[in-house]
Amino acid sequence: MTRGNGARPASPARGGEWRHGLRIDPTRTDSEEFLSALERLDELAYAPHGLATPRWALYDCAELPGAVIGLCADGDGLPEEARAALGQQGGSEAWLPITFLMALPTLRPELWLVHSICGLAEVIATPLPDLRSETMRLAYDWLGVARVRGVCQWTSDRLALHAHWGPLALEAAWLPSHDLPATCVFQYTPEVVPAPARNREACERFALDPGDEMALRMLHDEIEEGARFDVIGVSASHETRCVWIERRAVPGAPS
Amino acid sequence: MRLDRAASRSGCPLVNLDVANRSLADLEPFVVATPEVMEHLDLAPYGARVDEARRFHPLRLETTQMLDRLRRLDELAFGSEGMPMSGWILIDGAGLTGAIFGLGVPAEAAPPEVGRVLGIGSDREGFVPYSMYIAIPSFEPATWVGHNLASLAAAPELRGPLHGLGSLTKALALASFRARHQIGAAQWDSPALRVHTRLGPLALSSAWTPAHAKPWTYTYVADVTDTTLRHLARDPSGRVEYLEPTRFIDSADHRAMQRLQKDIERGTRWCIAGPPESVSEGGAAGERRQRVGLALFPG
Repeated sequence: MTRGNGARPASPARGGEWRHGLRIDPTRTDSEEFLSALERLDELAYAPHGLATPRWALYDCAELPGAVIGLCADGDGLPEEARAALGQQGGSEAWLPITFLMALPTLRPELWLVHSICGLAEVIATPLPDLRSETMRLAYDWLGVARVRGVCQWTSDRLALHAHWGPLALEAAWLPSHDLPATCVFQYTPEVVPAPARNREACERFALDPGDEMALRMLHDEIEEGARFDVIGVSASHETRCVWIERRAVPGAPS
Repeated sequence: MRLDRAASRSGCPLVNLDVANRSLADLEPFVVATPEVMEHLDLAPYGARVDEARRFHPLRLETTQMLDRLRRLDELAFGSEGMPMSGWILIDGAGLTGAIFGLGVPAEAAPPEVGRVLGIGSDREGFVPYSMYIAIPSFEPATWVGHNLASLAAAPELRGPLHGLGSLTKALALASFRARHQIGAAQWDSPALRVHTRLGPLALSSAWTPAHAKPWTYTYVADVTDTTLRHLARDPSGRVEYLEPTRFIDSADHRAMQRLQKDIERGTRWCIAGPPESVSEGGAAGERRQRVGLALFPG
């Protein structure tokens, strides 16, 4: 299974028209099998972190107001391990989800909340291509997303997926009421701009250890006090991960 | 109890509504929403002005206590239903996309029984939410998906003084959100149907919903107008026109729901005609049963 060869876009969403792909209406009973597999994929990706989406929330907080968009594949074309992971024992002729993300509209037509990006490749041992970035690209294109608000754990590899699109303007760096307080919230414009081409007046760049709780709290305090920061990249090795942060100049503030 | 003292008032100074339970007049409205949502809202729906201090930004540290108390309120309403809301859903699925509107009191004004029910003990700091309604804007203009209505009236010891709090909260919230249509999902055996039908007949999008954790869930769309909101809030000037039922669903009859779902999927447009009737207890202890009248969608 590769992009454009067996993978099809799928979107469980109430209402809306899609230009192509498999469209699934969650208010219909024939959506059950696909959505069960989708729930299973979410569980495999997020349950280890305590962030699995309960089925009621998938329906009430994602499928009804927004959309779950991803890629799917013919079950028979997937490795046995993949089918088993999605709850399909033996052969399956059904289309099964292999990636998805949840996108919710906001009162600003251009701004969408995007979260719960996941793919089969990250939860099974059999090598599969990681199509999560492709899924983001397709979702942003279909929905006409001009601005993304993202929510992501600092230690998650999904932060790099978002950062690929450009600088992430941080809105929060520490959320005590979240199940995992070391979570950040940010906005970005989904257009890939090579880093050297950015004409930006940075005051300061520094590396942030995403596991350093005190540093995250201090960063959040500064954001609440009016400082502006962008995530400009994530670098990871086998043992360490660091997030590159840029402090932006605040208009009108003394330098 | 503060609520009882408030009952002696002759009017309802809080809202431009004639609310039957005057004791609710002591409650203050609050909103949790991002600034861009906040600027869209009516922050004085029916005259119930949301004070600056009661406008909470979901990402600020000072809101932590409020969010924790809202989670406790949610647990009270949905914990026993097996559908509690985790912290990340409260942030992603409410605070960052839609809004949480509710009523409550400053902590120093909360009676001890409220503190016990919410598990905040004698904490006199901050604001104590008595109710909340959560909704997310959808694709369609002025259409909000409501996914949580919770109130302290779910606690037996507070049910009497807080009678009508859930419906008042939902009415004020939808007015604040400037909603013209509201989408929701609920279970056929849930008493919340009595609240939802105060908005009038509910057009059904589904009657049996395997996509939900509880397939005996129906999905509905309600029209929201000033008169239906007033009816929801139990203001005598409110009015809705219920329909004559031609079919009934017993909340314990899953096969009937599945038959109705097939009808809906074939294109027949059904709606819930009006409030449900309670069915006398006859089954297992604690079983809730109600009979719901249906009608073909007018036109």
